Amino acid sequence: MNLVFHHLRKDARQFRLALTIWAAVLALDLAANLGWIFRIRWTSADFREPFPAMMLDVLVLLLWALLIKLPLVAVLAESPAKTDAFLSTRPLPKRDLVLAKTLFVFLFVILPATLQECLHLALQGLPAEIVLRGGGERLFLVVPVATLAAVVGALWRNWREFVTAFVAVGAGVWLVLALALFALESSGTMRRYTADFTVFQVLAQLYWLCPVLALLAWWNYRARWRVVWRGIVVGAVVLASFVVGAFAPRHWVRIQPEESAKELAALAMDRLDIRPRQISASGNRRTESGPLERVGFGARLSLPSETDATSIDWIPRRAELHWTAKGQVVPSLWLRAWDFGRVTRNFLAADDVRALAGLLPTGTMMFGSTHLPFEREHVMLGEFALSVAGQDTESPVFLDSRIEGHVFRWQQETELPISPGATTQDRAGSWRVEAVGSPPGRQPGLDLLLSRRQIALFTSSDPLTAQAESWPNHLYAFGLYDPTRRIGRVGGYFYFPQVRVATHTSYPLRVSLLHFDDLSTVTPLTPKARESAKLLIFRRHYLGTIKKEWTSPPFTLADFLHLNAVHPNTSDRRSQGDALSAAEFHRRLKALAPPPPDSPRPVVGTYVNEVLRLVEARRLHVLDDDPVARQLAAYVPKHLDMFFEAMPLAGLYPGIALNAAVRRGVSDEQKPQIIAALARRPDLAQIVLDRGWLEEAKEPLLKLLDSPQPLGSAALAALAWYEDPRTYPGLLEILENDPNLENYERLRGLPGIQAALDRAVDRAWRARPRTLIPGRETPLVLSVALRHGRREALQEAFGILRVLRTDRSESLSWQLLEAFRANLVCAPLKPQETYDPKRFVPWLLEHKAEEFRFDAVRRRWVPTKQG
Amino acid sequence: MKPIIHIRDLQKRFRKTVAVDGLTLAVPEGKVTAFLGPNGAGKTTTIKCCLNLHSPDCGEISVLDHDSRRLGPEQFRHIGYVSENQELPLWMTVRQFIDYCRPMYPNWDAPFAEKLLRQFDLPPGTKLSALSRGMRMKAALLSSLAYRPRLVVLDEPFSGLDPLVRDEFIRGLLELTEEEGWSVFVSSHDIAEVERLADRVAIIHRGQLQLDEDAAALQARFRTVEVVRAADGSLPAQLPASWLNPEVAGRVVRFTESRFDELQLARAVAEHLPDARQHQATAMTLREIFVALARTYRLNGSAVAGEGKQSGA
Repeated sequence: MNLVFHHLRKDARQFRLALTIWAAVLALDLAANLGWIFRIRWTSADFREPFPAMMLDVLVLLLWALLIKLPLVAVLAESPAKTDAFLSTRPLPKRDLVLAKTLFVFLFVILPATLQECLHLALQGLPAEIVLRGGGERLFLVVPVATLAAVVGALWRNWREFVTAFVAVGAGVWLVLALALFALESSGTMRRYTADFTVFQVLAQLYWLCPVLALLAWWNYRARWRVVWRGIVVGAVVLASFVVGAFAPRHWVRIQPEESAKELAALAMDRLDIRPRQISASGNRRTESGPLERVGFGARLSLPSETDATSIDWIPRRAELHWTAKGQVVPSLWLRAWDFGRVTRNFLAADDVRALAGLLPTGTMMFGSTHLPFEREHVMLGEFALSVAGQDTESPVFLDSRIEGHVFRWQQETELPISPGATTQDRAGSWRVEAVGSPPGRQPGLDLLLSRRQIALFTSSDPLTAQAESWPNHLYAFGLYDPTRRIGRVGGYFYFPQVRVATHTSYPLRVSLLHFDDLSTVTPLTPKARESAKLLIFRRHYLGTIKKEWTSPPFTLADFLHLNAVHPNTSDRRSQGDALSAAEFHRRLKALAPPPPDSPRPVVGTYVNEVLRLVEARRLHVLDDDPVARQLAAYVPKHLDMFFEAMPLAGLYPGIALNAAVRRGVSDEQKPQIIAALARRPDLAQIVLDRGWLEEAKEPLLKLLDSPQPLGSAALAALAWYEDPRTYPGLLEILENDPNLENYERLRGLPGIQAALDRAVDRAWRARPRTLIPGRETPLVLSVALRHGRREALQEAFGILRVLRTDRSESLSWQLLEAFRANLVCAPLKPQETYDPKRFVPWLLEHKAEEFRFDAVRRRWVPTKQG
Repeated sequence: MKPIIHIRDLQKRFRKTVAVDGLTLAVPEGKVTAFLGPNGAGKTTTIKCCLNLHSPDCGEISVLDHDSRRLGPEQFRHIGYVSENQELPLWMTVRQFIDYCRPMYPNWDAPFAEKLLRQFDLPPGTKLSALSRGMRMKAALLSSLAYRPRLVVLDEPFSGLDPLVRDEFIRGLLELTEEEGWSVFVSSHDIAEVERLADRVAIIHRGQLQLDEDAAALQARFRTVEVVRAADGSLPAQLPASWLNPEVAGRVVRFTESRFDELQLARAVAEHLPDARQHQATAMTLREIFVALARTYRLNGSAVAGEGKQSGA
């Protein structure tokens, strides 16, 4: 044993310079992370580093370089691979030498690195348990790295040999890996192997490499392999480590509440039931000149067990489009492992917003910015090259896909007053408001400079989200809560760069600049209100991943694609520049000479096209009795087929004009054509309804329920006429997708629909947008829910009214007032007075939701106390 | 006498190069054995195999009665090894170097080490990296002798040393070996360096042992012979195998007699060179013998038939 310490002393003396540098780097890193040196200077809503942040990165780089170099040089000095080492013929037992080197690596490399992390975390004021966990993780990571460096050193005779081998083995491994991955990609099994390695998988690699390479070093010491063979074997071992990593569990430690496991299990059991109308398609737009080359399919995904607090990031893993008749399968173009599988979303989805709304105190109105999603997004499932399938858009196809959902649950982490220096500590770190301001020249609002220090333990409950690259932009959400007016605002533009990189368990300093818009339709945040306001910090916790397989019902591409078709001549100018003035519109319209109705098709076509161009330029919503509709309707009896052909290619306003013209101009003789066209144009149901062709059109109308086409109010009205219970699920789906009062009233009276209607309204209410966005403060479903007698709808309506700026009548949502008008008995106001906001709004503000009760007979909310 | 190193049929190959090919050699205890051979003959490989620095492909080596493959700390306590290629901890001072080596040897003789320090004139406070090559070799020798090893193995210890240092080194070594009675196995490619030291000489060429003999016997066996003939003429086709490197210069024929015996030489001269008027045999130095043999090996490509190749087994 004496010889062990004797040799250890010799190593310490030999490497005293490197050890001194190592200690200095550790101390510098510690001091920088504790803010003792290189202090950041905070200014109003900005921060400045004392010198380029790159310098600190260099410090960390140096730290890791020394962590690898120290064991390496210590071993290389007396490498067992040497034949001319001084100790080779000295009576120092190999066991003692190995022990001495091990002690050196442990005492001078691993232990200081671990203690530094413990000290760092302890001085940050973190709880002892977190300090121990952080220190433990550092130990867990440093041990294989340092050991591996030592073991690799034992394989080579000197630096020259080591560097040569390192470069050669590195290049060889890279080449083999690249070729293997290319082959795997070609064979379609790529994703299995190249899914992002987690820290645990990398650790599995390292912990596997350590003993194997140690064994190899021992073997080499006995057998004295040639350097080339050593390189090949080491390369093979390193390659094998990737296989070990790929098959190692992605997470070794999962700490999560038990109830979340139940929630996850329930979600995992759910069947992913996507109705045809939840599927969306988007292709490169069909134009007159070019063929359709590719089509993408997306869907709105939801599971029955989803709760408001749950948010699921759906990631497609596989998608194939099957041509049923031909047996042809077209895989998705862009399902690549490196595109998907990472939780990198740094924006809030509709589900996130809904969850956050649920976390605010009851009765709080939550406002967001216009960039926040209003309704649930479609998840893109795949994109398919139609050239492979020979542009076949009429044959039946189905979509086969595998989807993974990363399930998260939002929780409020903490709250902070809006004042500089406000700090809050939690188990994992601290938040601090560094500066508050509203810099001149920017959009009025509130700017907050927020710093965060948080330990990123890889044994946390969020191993998936702990990926360094994306952390924590997608993990946090911020809200501003004004308790006096009970307004919440979510979002705020934020960017969360890492300012200071700590050693490895990373307790980095991150800074976020939050900007909350001054919502012009909401009463502004006064300095007094700001004093009582709080910054809310939310975090989403990863619960786990669920896997779903989904096969769509059969459909044809044409079912979808005509919905997206846009006429190039009319669509391009849409929303560009000012609309054409009315005078100019009429002048130009008069200048067009209408051809006789029985003129040849090219003549009529030219004329109609010119009229539609003017409609597009004017952005004119053509009603049935509009002169333009009358003018175009004259050509319908002779040229209905031309109108049908134009409809898929028309933009928004020309499309409305064409529909109005057809409705007005169609003759009874054209009934078969109209009924036949229903399959592609469900809005023609309005003509069927108006003309009383319902019996003849029953079959194609019923078929519409199974098609992926979005059905509007006209189709719903026509289908409701049959009072057929088989149509109720489809009709209720239409209501849920388009929850307006007209649709609701058409369904409410259908026999035997009440229970299903209750459920549908409940679902629609729960799915409503929770964040009120300027200009879109009132969700459509509010009126339906009021008519259905939901009290929280009335409370919400009054809540919205309370926070909107009453001094700006234009800011009051027309929809909100319409919802009150349609569902509230506003006595003693006369009906016409409710159309005057100056009279109606003050009257509403004098009342509260509690003052009304729902009268189920009148289907209105009536005052509780009359008079 | 029992050999302290006994090599039997040693073979060692590096890729396609045969470094040692069937070498059998016995190094007697208590004597200085010079292991000679030209560069690349296989001396260093043989020594490294003896000290378990290389594994033999074939054959057996016994060192201090132990299989060389199993040499461990216990045996290395009795072996001193100095090599021109050996790495030294250059960052240490001479004193630190001595202090570092001392605990490894229970039989370390500190006064003796101090004596060697003075004898070798080594500056204790100077780093090894700052020493000249010769001084470093002396330091290495000190660290290999201070524990009074039973066997001292020196691999080309004089290589690269200037004549003065070499002389000092040899003198120091000579004094010590005489005093201590150590077994020394010293390799060199130049016999002049070890002439004063060697009790026994082994010569290796192309991995094969060519000669293994006591130095005195060797010197007694070899003579340079000059024969003066009556007239110029070429040499006869058949000459005795013991006549090495025969040369003709006018009427003088010169060769090396490798089995010297005065009477037999006279008889052989009379038989093969009938016109010889006179002949003269002169004693040779070991260096001259080595050069003569080396030339012969180079010309013949193999051992000289009937030479004194013998093993001490």
